[in-house]
Amino acid sequence: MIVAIDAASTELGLALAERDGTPLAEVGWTSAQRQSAELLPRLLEAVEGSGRQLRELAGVGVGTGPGSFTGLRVAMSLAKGLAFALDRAIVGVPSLAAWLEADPETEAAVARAGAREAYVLVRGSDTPLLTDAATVAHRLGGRPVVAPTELAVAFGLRRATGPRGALVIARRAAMRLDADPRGDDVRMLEPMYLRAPRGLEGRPQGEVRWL
Amino acid sequence: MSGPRILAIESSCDETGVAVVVGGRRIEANQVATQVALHAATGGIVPEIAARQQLRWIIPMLEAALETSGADWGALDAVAVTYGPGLIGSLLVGVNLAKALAVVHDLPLVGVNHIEGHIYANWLTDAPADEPLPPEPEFPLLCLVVSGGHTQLVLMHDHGRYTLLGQTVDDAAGEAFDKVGRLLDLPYPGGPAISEAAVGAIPATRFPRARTDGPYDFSFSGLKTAVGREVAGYRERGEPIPVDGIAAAFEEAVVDALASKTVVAAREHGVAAVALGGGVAANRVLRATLAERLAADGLPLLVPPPAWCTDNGAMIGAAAGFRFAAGDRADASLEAIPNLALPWLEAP
Ligand SMILES: [Zn+2]
Repeated sequence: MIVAIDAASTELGLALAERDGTPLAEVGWTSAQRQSAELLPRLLEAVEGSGRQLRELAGVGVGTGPGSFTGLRVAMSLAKGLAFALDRAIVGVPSLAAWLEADPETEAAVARAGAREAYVLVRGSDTPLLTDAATVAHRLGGRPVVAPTELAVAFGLRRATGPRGALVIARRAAMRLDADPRGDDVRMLEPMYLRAPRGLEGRPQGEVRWL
Repeated sequence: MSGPRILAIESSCDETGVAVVVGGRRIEANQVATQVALHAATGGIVPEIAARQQLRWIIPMLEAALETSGADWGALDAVAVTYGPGLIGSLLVGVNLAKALAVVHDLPLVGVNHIEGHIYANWLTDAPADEPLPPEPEFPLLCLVVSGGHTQLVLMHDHGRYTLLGQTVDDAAGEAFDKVGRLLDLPYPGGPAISEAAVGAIPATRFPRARTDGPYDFSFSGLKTAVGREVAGYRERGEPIPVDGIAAAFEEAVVDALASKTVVAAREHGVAAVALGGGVAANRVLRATLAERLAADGLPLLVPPPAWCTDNGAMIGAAAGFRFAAGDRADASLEAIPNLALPWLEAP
């Protein structure tokens, strides 16, 4: 069994698939703040609902974004924990590419990058770009795109459909493990950030906290 | 073996710690990755940098801790993790990793308050398993928790029973050290740099001690401002800044504020001992001054070794030992709580 987690946006997704990629279950829901509280319980429910056990895990697929730093951190920490605890492989799959693959009618995938910017992956391209809201609205406002609802509303994407990338992540992870059973390095795997951490340059005093 | 063997994870700020602690006291492994060098470049902790590093270091530290202890999953009785207070991005990493480990191996999960961890560092020992445990701290115990993020004076009546006597109303003591370190152009972190500069120096001035509403509260932002004015004065006059002398005067003012309130509180509450915790507990002048003033009252000062004062997994394992015995359990929905407080009792 492959478990896949996609938490790059406020629309969270989980999927279970057979080792060969055949879908077993998919769950999607919206949560802006409670990824840390909700992801693991929902995952355990899905496993139980499919009559499976976590111990049957063969590998973990995890969306690497780019997107919500919080969501990606929660997903990545859970995925690392599951993979390490069971000594199974982990595979990182770019989230926006998975969203596009799941929704063939769309031309681009859009994820939030702060208040006034978005990560945009245009179909046919390999690299998501950091783009400001005005450009996103101008270029993609009337086009069919994948984007979480809150972002579509905020950025004026009138023909957006919500992301559903988890099953694709599971399938891609299964394919990857066929080709390379070791998968990614569980120590080093990290989200695709695209942005330097805020604060590395021109850091305003107020943003720094000591704990 | 005496008591549960707990795998403990600490990721509340910029240290990534994983430890194995038995019975809340005996350290079998205590691995810490620190980001001090990284943050030296920015002069302080940048939350997003800290969180990214947590995700990078957590598995290597976990591997190292399990290897050092020699414990496999079957030999563990629980997984413990800091769930607050701290930086949200950093906390999330440890909390979610710990939850995954616990559910996979069907181990109880214990959520630990970071401040409680600092206090329980006083219960830790690295004595080998065939040696008897050193005696436990006695209650009532007065705990001064001082670090870059916290400055609290806590009266501990018994395991898990605390009264908050006072705390900083603005900057934490360690934060004041870092800020003054920058004013004096000293390297980050400011605590060790200021202490080093102050060794043997004659204080260049006497900085005012802050007045606070609560008798056991602390305030350090006025002191920082006073240092800034002093430094600016030398600059305006075109005189060289007596860095060592100002560092000594600043350290003296911080230590005096911490020590005098702690001693008064110890007397008022008739405690059995005073315990230090947190990164600033490594400050030699603080340790020496407190020990000397408490000795006049015949009171012992407990100070963990520096490695257990700064953030680490073992202190979380120590607090978890008590929490585990008391039946505290968290589940898969455990959240990170950045402003988590201890469950305070009413003031006595
Ligand atoms: Zn701390």
